[in-house]
Amino acid sequence: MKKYIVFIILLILSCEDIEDNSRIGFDVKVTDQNSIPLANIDVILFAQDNSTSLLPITTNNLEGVLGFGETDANGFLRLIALKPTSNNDVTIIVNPVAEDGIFENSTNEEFTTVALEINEELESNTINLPDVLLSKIANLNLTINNSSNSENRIRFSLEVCARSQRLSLINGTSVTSNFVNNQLFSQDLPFFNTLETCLNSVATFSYTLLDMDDVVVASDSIEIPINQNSVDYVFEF
Amino acid sequence: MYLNFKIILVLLFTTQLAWTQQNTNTKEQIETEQKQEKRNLKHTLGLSFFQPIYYGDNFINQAYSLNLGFDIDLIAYNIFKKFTLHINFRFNSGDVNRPELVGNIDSSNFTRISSGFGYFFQLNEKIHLLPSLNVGYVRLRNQLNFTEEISRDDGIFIGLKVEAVYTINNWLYLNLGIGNDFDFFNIESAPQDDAFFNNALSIYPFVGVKIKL
Repeated sequence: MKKYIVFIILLILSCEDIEDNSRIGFDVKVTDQNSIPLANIDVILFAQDNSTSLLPITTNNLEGVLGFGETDANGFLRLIALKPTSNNDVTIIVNPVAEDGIFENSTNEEFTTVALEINEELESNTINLPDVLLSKIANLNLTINNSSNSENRIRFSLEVCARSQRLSLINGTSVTSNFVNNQLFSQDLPFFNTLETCLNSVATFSYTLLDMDDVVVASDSIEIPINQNSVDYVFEF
Repeated sequence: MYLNFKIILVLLFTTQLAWTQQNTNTKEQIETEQKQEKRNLKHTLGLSFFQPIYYGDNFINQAYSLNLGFDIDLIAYNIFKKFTLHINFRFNSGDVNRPELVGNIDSSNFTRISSGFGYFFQLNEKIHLLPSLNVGYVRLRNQLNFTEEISRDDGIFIGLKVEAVYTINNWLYLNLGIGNDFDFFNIESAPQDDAFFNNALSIYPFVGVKIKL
């Protein structure tokens, strides 16, 4: 009987995600690519170690929220949040993609989302963050045409600046690009795709043309400057 | 001889009258004292309603909108001369309107348990003034947003209170007053936020009734 009581007590204790009588705090400044402060940008602190599962934020994955706020007119926010227990890592999401009505502003759809992963010990009850830069969103409209009506197929990849970026402040790794890979046969063409990317970035389109015998006919990499809100790029072969 | 007799008779009559009058006065005095004794407070149980108002740069004042609360107090009168002994329970709730200052909290229940001493001043037959000093425990039970999880903040407080008590009848009293609490929370935070979280000052006007036990 005693064993069961101890087990239940341990179970209850292990379910605690938040420390009592404790807070963590940090300063964050959010700017755009021209160093102009961005106001009314939501910032959320999560006690979860895999930020990819937090995007987009829906009513189903809000349990780990420790604190949230929005930047002021100077793009500045002093955010104080509940402190997670030591077995929880922390992710700060700036301008999260969230369902309408969850937070005051929800997403500012003009700008990218940045998730900062932190798993250092929070003994000092404070987090030191770099300034966060958000890029404006732009659309890349890709069209691939088989204008020669050949039987060649095309393998291509497209690397674009990611709408949602992830940075680890522990080991310096980052995920800032999205990749699209595909192989298209003549019957699949023309092909259209629209991707969200960052304004003032460069997308890289890499392709390989193969004939019916799998012999490489052509191969190249093309850089596409994303210098306006909507960029149309047509690749023809 | 006849004159002397008359003087003695008058003296005797006067003395009798005086004695009777004195006797009557003593009876009235005893009755008055008995009435006063009945009015004298022994122990009371009170229920008051109060509105906490925090002030200064602290997390409760900056982040919460506080609701009306209730106060249950037990007072033992005349424990030593005019000193009183107090035991007190207080409860109110508050909604967080600036979560960026306190974390992901939707609302909190504020509970206080305290005890202390007071001293009463009888202003007139109906009203007495009762200042008191209390020391106690304060706890915030925090209901979080988006989850059923609960967190807790707690600490100790020192409370100064002064109330006027009006005697309605032998067993019922009306009281109103104001209190001032000095909260010392035990919240760990970043060094620049320590003062913001660890000290809080509030006043609370209150009105209620007491019954004699």
